[in-house]
Amino acid sequence: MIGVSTVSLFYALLALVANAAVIGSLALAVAARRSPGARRSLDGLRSSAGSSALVAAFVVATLATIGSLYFSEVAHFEPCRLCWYQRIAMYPLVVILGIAALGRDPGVRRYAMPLAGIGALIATYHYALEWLPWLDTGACSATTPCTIVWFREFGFISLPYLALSAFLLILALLWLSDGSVADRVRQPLAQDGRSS
Amino acid sequence: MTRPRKPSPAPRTGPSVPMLVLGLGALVIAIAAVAAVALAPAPAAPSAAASAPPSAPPAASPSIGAAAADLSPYASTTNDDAVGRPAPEVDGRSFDGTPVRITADGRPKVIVFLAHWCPHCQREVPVVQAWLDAKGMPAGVDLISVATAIDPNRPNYPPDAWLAREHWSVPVIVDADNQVATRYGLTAFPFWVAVAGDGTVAQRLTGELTPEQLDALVTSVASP
Repeated sequence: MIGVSTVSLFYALLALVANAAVIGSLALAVAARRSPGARRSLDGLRSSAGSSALVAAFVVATLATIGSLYFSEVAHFEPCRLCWYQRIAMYPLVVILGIAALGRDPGVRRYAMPLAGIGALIATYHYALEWLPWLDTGACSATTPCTIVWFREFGFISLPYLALSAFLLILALLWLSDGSVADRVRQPLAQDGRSS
Repeated sequence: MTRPRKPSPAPRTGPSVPMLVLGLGALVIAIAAVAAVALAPAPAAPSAAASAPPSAPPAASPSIGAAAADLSPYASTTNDDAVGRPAPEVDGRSFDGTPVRITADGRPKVIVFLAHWCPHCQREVPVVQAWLDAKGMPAGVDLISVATAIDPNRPNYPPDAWLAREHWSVPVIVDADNQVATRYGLTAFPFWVAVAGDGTVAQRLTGELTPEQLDALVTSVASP
């Protein structure tokens, strides 16, 4: 029987992997601005990532959604208002990124990145609220205040941290997905005279 | 209306189909895992109970006098229509069964409602305890706490272990069915009710109080 603590630990480990991937991408992006070698590595990664990055982003959104539903429906952690706003940003990404991954449609970045960006901002505020409860009204609502910390794996990985990690990884993957696939799709459109 | 994408040379990249299969495989496994956990016979109740037993709150709920009407749900300290109304009398018990009462006995009182899972309460309890240790309550004024919104599924359960950790010296009424909170019009935590010597509500407020605000609240009901 898998317990809630096992699942939260599993997701915390996933979050650490996600963090490492995001930090790696950022480091590569920074290095690419300075060194031609890193630039070539980044270009190579982006062109080879292509639609695989979309699939990966879809998997991340799906795992995040499953985790979210597990914690509310199985573990009975009631979602607070900010949790709901993050869900509003995350759940549609499963459908949008899933369809985009199937159709290898890099244009999805324009729809998915704002959602993931908004979700990341809300998750950041929610995470800050857990450590600094005075950021809100100074009192807990009698129902489900957003300052409740349901768990803190390794002393710092809580639910909004998981959400933030997922949103940031989705953003990084979407950024990586803008490789040669995008160019290859745009070209036929241009040949049809339909592209600006 | 032509759809340009389909007939054009498919933008195939090598790993995408295996990746998709992999992704869907992971999805199926994850869904199966969640389903297995969710559908397993009665998992939640025993685990919650298992973490609770040494210090579950007493089964008996406090009895609340019917003489005083319910105070309206708290909205704001200013123009609070509960002020001047009689505070409901409570005949309650502490975690260990010790009787703790709120009665119109002529003594002014400050009542604080605490939820074990509320971070603001978690921060306030040591502040109040330090204030008590430093100054103590003025003679003739009682401080009574009410442990309410007790939920084994929420963090920092059980409340008696939490309050013991904080060396909480204030008498506690265990509000097992949240009736005391409801009767006093609680809408947020921590919730403070100052009761004048004549048994009427002098002030209600919510949130963390600083030691200075505690001073002000207590002296506002202390006998002149």
